[in-house]
Amino acid sequence: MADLDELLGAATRALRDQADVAPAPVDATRRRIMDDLAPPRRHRRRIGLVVFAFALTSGGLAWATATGRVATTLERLGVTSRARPMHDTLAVATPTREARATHVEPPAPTPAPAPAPAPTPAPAPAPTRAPAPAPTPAPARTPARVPARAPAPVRADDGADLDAYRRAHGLHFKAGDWPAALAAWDAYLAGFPSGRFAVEARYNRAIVLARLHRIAEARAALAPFATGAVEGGYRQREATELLDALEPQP
Amino acid sequence: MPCAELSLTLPIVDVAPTGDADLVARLRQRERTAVAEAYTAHHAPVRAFARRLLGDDAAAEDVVHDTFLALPDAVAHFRGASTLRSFVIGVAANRARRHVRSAARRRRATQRLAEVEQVRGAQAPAPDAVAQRRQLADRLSLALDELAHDQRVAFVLCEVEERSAVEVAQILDVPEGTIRSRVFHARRRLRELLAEEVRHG
Repeated sequence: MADLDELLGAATRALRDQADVAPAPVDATRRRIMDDLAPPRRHRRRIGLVVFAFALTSGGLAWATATGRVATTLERLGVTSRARPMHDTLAVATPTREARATHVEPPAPTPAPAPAPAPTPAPAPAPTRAPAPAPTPAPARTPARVPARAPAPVRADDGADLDAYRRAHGLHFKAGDWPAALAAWDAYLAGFPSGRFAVEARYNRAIVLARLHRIAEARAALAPFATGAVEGGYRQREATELLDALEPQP
Repeated sequence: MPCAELSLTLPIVDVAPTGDADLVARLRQRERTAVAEAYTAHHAPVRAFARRLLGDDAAAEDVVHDTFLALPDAVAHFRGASTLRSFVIGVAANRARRHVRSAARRRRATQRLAEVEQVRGAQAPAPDAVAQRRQLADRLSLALDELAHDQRVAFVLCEVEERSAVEVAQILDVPEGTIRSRVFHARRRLRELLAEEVRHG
């Protein structure tokens, strides 16, 4: 029992010290709080008035349109002598100037993947939609944060390959210095994308990402392992279990 | 050791209650600058408490965020019986309730990672003192996940943060006897959990 008390005491002290060791993103949290604070009452009242006025206007317009009063009034004013009733006009939805412009000149379909067109403010009619880009060969085996470039030839110097791997391994498994380990794994993969330990490095990098609570990136990095796409199922079971454990909150 | 016998040894400089009045009044008026001031004055102990309570940095930041965001509303219940700092920590204890599950979930994921790494780095040398302390803290955080929230909060405030039962009673706005009882039951349960862990190696 005394041993347990001692253990509990030591664990309590360790937990106490942990909070002092971990650096806190003081300014980032302050910014988050200030951004999320509700606007002052004066502004809220103004927003409320705008919303109320909008609701009143659109409600009245909808009622007048449905009962035909808009058409009657406009006709009486001589504005809609050759116009369709308002609800018809709305249903047909005359294209906007931007839409008309895009309708006249639809982008010519190109066989090669083209850069995505600039977004238009109004939803463009179907014919103007850009053709889906041709599927590009996705670099399935390239980890997300490794610079996308052509696989560099493995350096002749195998010693450098091993040294880089050892360095990252030490930072990860011995020092437990996650940020440094991540940088080291990234450096290894950048230097030796087809190195002897590239697959292992990718897996370890995913684990470090999880350690750093970069959950989305960790999940993306683990996914190819979990599906068995890497080296015919390398670490597939472990990766699947880890993905389950990292499942986002409902 | 009973909670009341411990003195407050944390390096916390309490704000004088007289200095709170103006800030509280401005918080009640929902002044943004008042929230910013409250954050500057009190975020450190709130963050430390949340980190110790949840054992998770990301969750601790979320608790700090929620606490100060809720402060203009919560301060309506501030009666001035304690310092504003104690009151803010009490708000944090309540807000933390929502984050316990996510922190526990992350901890389980991390634990599984540790198991994987243990297998993979089996040849790793014995961990140094820092790593050992981190492991101890992690074990306690895992055990704390098994406690009821009220017991967990009382244990962290009394035993981990070494606050007196009187102060914790003020923070949580419950009788002192209730705090002692919660800490007693928390310690007993934690001992059981540690014993189980030791038995299973």
